Amino acid sequence: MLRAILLIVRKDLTVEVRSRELAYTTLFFAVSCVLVFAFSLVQEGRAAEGVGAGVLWMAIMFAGNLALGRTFERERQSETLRALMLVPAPRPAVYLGKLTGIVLLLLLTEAVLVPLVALLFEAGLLSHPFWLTSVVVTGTLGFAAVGTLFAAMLVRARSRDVLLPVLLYPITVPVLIAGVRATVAIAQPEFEVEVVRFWLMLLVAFDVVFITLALWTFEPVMTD
Amino acid sequence: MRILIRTIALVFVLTMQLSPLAAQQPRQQEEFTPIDQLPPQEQLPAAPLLVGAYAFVLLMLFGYVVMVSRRLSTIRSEVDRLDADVKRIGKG
Amino acid sequence: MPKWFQSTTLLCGALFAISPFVIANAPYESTMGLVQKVFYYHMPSAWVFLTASVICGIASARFLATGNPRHDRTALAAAEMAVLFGLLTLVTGPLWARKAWGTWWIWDARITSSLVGWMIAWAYLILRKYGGPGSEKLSAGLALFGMANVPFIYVSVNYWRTIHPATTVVPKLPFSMGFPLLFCLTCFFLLMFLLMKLRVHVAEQQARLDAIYLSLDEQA
Repeated sequence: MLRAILLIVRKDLTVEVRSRELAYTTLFFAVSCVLVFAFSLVQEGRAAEGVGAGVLWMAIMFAGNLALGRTFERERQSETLRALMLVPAPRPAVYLGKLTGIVLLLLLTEAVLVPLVALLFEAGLLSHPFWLTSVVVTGTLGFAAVGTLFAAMLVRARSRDVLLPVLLYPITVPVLIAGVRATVAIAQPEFEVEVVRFWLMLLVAFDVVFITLALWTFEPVMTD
Repeated sequence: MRILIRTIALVFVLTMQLSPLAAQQPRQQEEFTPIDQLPPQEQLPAAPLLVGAYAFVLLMLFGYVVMVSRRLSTIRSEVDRLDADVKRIGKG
Repeated sequence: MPKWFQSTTLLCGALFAISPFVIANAPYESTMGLVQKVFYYHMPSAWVFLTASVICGIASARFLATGNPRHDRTALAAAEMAVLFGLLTLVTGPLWARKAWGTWWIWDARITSSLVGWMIAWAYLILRKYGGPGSEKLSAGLALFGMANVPFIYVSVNYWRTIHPATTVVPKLPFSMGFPLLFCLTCFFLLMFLLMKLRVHVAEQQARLDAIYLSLDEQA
């Protein structure tokens, strides 16, 4: 099964490296989001207090939504999703393969976003890189876990563009809240490990629940 | 359409994150105490809120029942019409 | 519709008609006074909302496992109940809060997760309506995630400091307040049961209608 996952990831990477469409568009969109927030929230030349964390996670969620939609749109157009479902690999492998691809794409975007937000919003985000990385990775994983499932589900549905955010945002609000609270705690001048650890544990719990649920539901939902 | 949905999502998430979260420790109630177990308090002018709440509940419930009943009667008349058509075609 | 449906509906209506009098006889709460009486409709609505979410989740799981459309219809009815009673909870709550806490809304754990749970139920209905063919299975998948939210809503109040009353309030209620609450809980749960039965019946009739149209198409 691991082999199947790796093959799927390799396929996606190969396609992506050739055109780089997804990476560039997602990155550009995320950066423009941050700029829009920066311009809207700046008062008297300085950003409002404590919004850096919120802006970071909002940008991740919006960019993630776009990336998910585009990834599966590409599959739909080339009808490769059907081909993937016919592959003699366990269905969960297809899900995990796509999930890995999405997470890699989002992590790449976040590598650019985090320093940008730290710079524009004067947020002390970079003071504890280990904790920040853990929080960002677990949060992205939780968001992508739900997003991959829903985006795959909606591939053949009507109004799929609009329905993805409608379904995705309410479910991932807990991940958003935990991610923002943890990031705010990291950016504080007086850093409290307990608070960060609490929110991080919550994120890990969400990840476990979401990925488990997604693995259970992927097969029945994708088969006719 | 996509942009509209994104904007609404943005506003929603933005208001969630920027509202001032209470820094103080709020007092949590552990149990309700009936008022006659305490010295008499003055009447609180809460009637409009109370009446509004009850009225809203009853109105919404009534509205839902009306909606569902109307849908049911539409479907029933449709089924009857089709049954009559089928019988007519069967005879003729 | 079964024979007992009409008489039970009349009974439910009568109970609801009596409920304001039962509630009026309950004593005032010491700190909150008159406005606390919203509690007798607010809490049963909340419990019905949570129960409906759980029913929707379980029915969805059974539908995904077996493919039996009966479970799908139950899930749909339960989702409508969740949206309806969730709306009642989310409106009566702020009306009470305005007087009791001085603010319409706070972002504490239970209220936020209730709002999120309500939006998930609403998203379920939107997906059913606009998702096109095959949306039954998709919404079933969504409902499972929504159900995972429910324990969090119920328990959150005990773990996060918040001004929302804790779950210890209900067991410690004196009888003068416990009786009206029980009365209203009976009203609301009976109503939920009846509404679900009605809604499932409508869905069955709709399915029958669709089957007739399909067979007519095939014959033509």
